[in-house]
Amino acid sequence: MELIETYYNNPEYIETASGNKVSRSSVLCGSQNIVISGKSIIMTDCVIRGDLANVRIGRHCIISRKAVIRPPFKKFSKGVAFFPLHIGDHVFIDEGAIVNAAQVGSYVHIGKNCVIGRRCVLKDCCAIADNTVLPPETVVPPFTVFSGSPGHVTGELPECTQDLMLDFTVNFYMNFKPTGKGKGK
Amino acid sequence: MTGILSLCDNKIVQYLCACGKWKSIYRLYLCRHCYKIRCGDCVLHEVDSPYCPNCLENMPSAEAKLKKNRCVNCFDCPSCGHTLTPRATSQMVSNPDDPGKSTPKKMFYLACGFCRWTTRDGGIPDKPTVSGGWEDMENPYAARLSSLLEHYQQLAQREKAEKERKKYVRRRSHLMYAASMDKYGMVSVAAKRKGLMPPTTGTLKENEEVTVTILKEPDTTKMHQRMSSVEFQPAETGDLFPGHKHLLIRRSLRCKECEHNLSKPEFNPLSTKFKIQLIAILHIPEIRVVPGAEFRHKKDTKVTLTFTNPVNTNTKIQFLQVEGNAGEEVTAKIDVPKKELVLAHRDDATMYDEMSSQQEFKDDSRSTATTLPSENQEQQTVWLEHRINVNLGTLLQQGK
Amino acid sequence: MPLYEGISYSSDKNVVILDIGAAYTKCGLAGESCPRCIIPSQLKDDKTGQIRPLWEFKKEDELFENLKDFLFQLYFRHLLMNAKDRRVVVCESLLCPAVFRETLARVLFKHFEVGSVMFTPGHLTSLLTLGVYSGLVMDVGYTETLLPAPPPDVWYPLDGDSSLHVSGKVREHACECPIDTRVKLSQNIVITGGTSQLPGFLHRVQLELQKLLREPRYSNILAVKKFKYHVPPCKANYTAWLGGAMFGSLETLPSKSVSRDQYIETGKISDWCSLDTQAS
Repeated sequence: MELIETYYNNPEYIETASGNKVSRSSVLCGSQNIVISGKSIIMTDCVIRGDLANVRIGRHCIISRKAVIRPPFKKFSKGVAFFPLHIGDHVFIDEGAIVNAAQVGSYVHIGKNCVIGRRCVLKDCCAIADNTVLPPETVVPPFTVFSGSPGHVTGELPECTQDLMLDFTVNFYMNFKPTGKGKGK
Repeated sequence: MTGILSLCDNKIVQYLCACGKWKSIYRLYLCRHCYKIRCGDCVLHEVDSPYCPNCLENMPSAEAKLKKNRCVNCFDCPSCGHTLTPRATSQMVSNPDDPGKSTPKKMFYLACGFCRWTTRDGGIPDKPTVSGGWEDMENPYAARLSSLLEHYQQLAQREKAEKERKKYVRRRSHLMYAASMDKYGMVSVAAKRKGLMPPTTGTLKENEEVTVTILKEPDTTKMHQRMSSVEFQPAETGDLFPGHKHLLIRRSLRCKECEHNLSKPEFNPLSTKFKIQLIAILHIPEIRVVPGAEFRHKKDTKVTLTFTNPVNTNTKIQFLQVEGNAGEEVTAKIDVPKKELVLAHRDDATMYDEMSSQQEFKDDSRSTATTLPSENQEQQTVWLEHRINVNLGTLLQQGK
Repeated sequence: MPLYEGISYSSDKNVVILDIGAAYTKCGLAGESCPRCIIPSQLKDDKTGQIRPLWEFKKEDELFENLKDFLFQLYFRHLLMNAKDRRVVVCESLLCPAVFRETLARVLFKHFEVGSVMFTPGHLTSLLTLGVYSGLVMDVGYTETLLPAPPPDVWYPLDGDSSLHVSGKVREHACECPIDTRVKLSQNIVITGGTSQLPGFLHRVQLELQKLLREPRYSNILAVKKFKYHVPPCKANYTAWLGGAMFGSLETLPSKSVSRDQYIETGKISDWCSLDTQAS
């Protein structure tokens, strides 16, 4: 495998004390409800809807450009309620993905332009291929790959998935370096 | 940056498995007992534990077999294959005590969150409980099939008995005759002689009834919809019927030579841990190519490789030139370092990147450069020799 | 679908019945009334994502890999059972290419280490589902329609003349049978194969047959006045499979199969057309 090419970014990113790198052009609604544990990257044009319900994101997660993280709702006879969304550690969410899941485990890969329907549960060590549509309330077991529309099991991940994702996300973070002086505008 | 899916099967650095196949290190295993690399194609796969991919509950193998590998509680949408979810409604039910009045009662039906199919579309009445007690359809031929099978069973027993007898009584004369029966597997000969006739009643039809129904396009089912319920294969969308969800399994792997386990998952389908996990990436140094090397025709190029030591002891690496390997797609001359390398043990995360190799291309076609350094690895007192295939990229086109 | 089924009499319930068709593969267990799965006979290439048909291959090695991956899918995604030391019954066409048959045997014995394999003609097993001993089996498959002569049994030796037009895409098949068998066969027509599930297909076949009967070409030489059709106890696309499943559940299966030891010893599987089949 080729080492991941070093990523540079302009001083448009803010680095928090816990090592999170958050783009200034991302939209974090209701930021008081958003917890990002550390060393995670939130890229440009991401939307995280903390205003709907709590969003918790673990360590070493990468939320790529234009991804939308949105807590799921459930209809009741009296109305609609939003539920918190938890994302584990070492999760990679690729560009343009829309995540409405109730839970995303650790070591999960979500491909480009995926739509993860309402109240889906993605367990640890699973992957969603690019352009997959997961219907509401889909469950993705560990070590499976889902693809298609509606998404269904199409493959298996190797036993070393955890090591792979860990290595991938940590390396990605290490190589995600600022250009220039690294100072704010 | 396409992530994990492309990483698992990358073609840049490939290791030679003991069975002769080139695989990425992530798909390889190392048998601790034979000290050989194994891959998915040369190990024995065994069904470990069936589980339902929706409710994630384990089902014992014996029970799974009995239930034809289907979950009792979860249903698939017959239209799109997604899992059905129960929905609650209230129905007005006439009160048995007071026929004039009707009281609301909670009823449930199954609905698909993707294509919006519901059990009501299939003409299935709502159920009073969440879990439903959704009936399964009966095979209309069950009785006929079982009587046929019973009949064949009798014939088979008779044939077997006759064979036994022949073995003792007339060894020679009927051998050919018996064999000719075997050939077509038909038990009819024996049947005729014994006057046993199979139950054929009701199978003959003189004229196929002409039922001309013109099906409109939206009413006919798709092939995958029919095949999802093999037994009934509904031709019209109105006949679609929810099917039980098919189970998935976790597999354990066994070395075919020494029969030791190479991988054994935990019983819980949610666990990502393994009882036994002899995967190559935990034992063999992983090689990666640092990108950026440019290859030009007849020019020396320095290529940087990184080695990662996964074990807790220092690992020594020697490079061996691959000898006389015609037939491989080697398109470059490689100078591997003569010096032995020592990889620090795992905790020390520093990576050594001192290996260089020179690339010389035979031509400027778009062929790929392949180096084949063999590498020895020390593990306690074990030296392992691996053959590695490294695809360093394509030659730059002239004029670039 | 009933979850519990009690029609199997065999103690060994793990006999896999396999019918690899040109378009769809039927796979399931012996003694059951329908296949566990009917899936397209194709493979998805992991690297390119392209779908390639199982039967499309240039070299034998390629076919070996195709079959290996395909059977792996069948065993571990659909049947969820181990392959090692279990018995297999393969329902095949009489005209199945030798290379396919041999490669399949190699994959089953060498790669999956199955206990034994029995190859049986699909037309014959189709008759098993009806309990009749002779009949005219017309298998209307995806790429070809096969209309072999009935199994040679005690009453009816082969060869003769009687003919049949098949509807639709103007298929003409001549089935040559001796004069004695014509009436019997015309009274025992079995039509199988997925294509025959086309709405109106059977009706069309029947009309054409009747029309042909009135034509002087046939009415002069055929004593057949009418045709009778069997209705198999299943959908037409898995009739052959069902027969295999019945056969696979019988006690006589081991004596009619090629065991792994035998295969490793001889390195080949006998074919209906080869002379050394009588060895057993």
